[in-house]
Amino acid sequence: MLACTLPNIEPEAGDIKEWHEPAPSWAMLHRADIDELKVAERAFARALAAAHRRTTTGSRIQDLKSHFVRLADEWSQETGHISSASDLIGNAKYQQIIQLGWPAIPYLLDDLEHNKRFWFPALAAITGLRPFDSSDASNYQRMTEAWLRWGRRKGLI
Amino acid sequence: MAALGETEGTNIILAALPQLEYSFGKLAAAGYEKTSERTGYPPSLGSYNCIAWAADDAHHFMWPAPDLEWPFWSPRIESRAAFVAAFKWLGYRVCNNSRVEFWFHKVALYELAGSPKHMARQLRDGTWTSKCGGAEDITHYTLDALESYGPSPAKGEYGRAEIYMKRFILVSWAVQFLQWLEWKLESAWPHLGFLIWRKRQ
Repeated sequence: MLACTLPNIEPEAGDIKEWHEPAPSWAMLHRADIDELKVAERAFARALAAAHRRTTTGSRIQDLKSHFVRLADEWSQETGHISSASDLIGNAKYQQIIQLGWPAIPYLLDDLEHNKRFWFPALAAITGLRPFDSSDASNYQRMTEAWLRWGRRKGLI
Repeated sequence: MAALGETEGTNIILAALPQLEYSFGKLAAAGYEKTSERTGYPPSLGSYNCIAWAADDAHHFMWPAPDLEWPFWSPRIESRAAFVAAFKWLGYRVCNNSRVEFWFHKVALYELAGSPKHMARQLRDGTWTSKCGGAEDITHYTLDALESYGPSPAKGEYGRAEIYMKRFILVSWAVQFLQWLEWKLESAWPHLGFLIWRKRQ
């Protein structure tokens, strides 16, 4: 039988205290700072996500606007010599503008106001509206004013 | 006017309006002159189209479509009958040729596949004046200068002159006076003028 003798070590009072109450770690010492950092990190992540959303939406808007401008310019070029209203509206580029739907309305109204292009049928097709009195039909100035007034009330321009 | 294709001793402008020449393949060969600047489409101020121009009217954009100007006495249908009816009450009657007749003013209606596309008005020297959509007015030396069959949008789609109408010259003067009067009244009191244009929506 193996005989084993352990040295008789008498623990000192300070050692027991150290065993029961270990020295505070770095994390414990800096808990407040860590919590503060976590809060800051979450805030930063939120801000980053918001910035990303803003950038993405902004670029989408920019894409839509440039797409509209390109289609509108191509339509103008392709139909400069056409008198038939149905041919003007039936042009593929004009139909593509109509298919842009409501998001294109601010650009249509802006173009109607500044470039005075023929957007009455597109506006009517997208919105299903005729915001002018029926007696003002064919009065292009009043029709324009009515569309712009409607757009301003809706906050679209 | 200096022009790229101007030939000695003549006034044929071959390269003045390349966009129109491209759209209408026979235009350069037939010969033409530019007689106005571009006007654009409604609601551009001062916009008018070929139909109004054929009717001696440079103040309206006439087409039988919703919200566009069209005489109240003619149905808003894109058909030969509607165009003939519109011009009938301006004093025109259908005739069977485009030859110059001293006592008559003439207009021609272009159609493609039975659908009206364009109108031209004859000038006293036998040439024709056209307003090409929102583009420039031109005087073209022949009617077939604007003959075109697409494919759209690269090429024009006016078809060919199918119907001719003529109006006695004295009737022309009377109607032109009434049109002038109507425009003056319309300028002064917009509501009055639009009585003519806005019915039958």
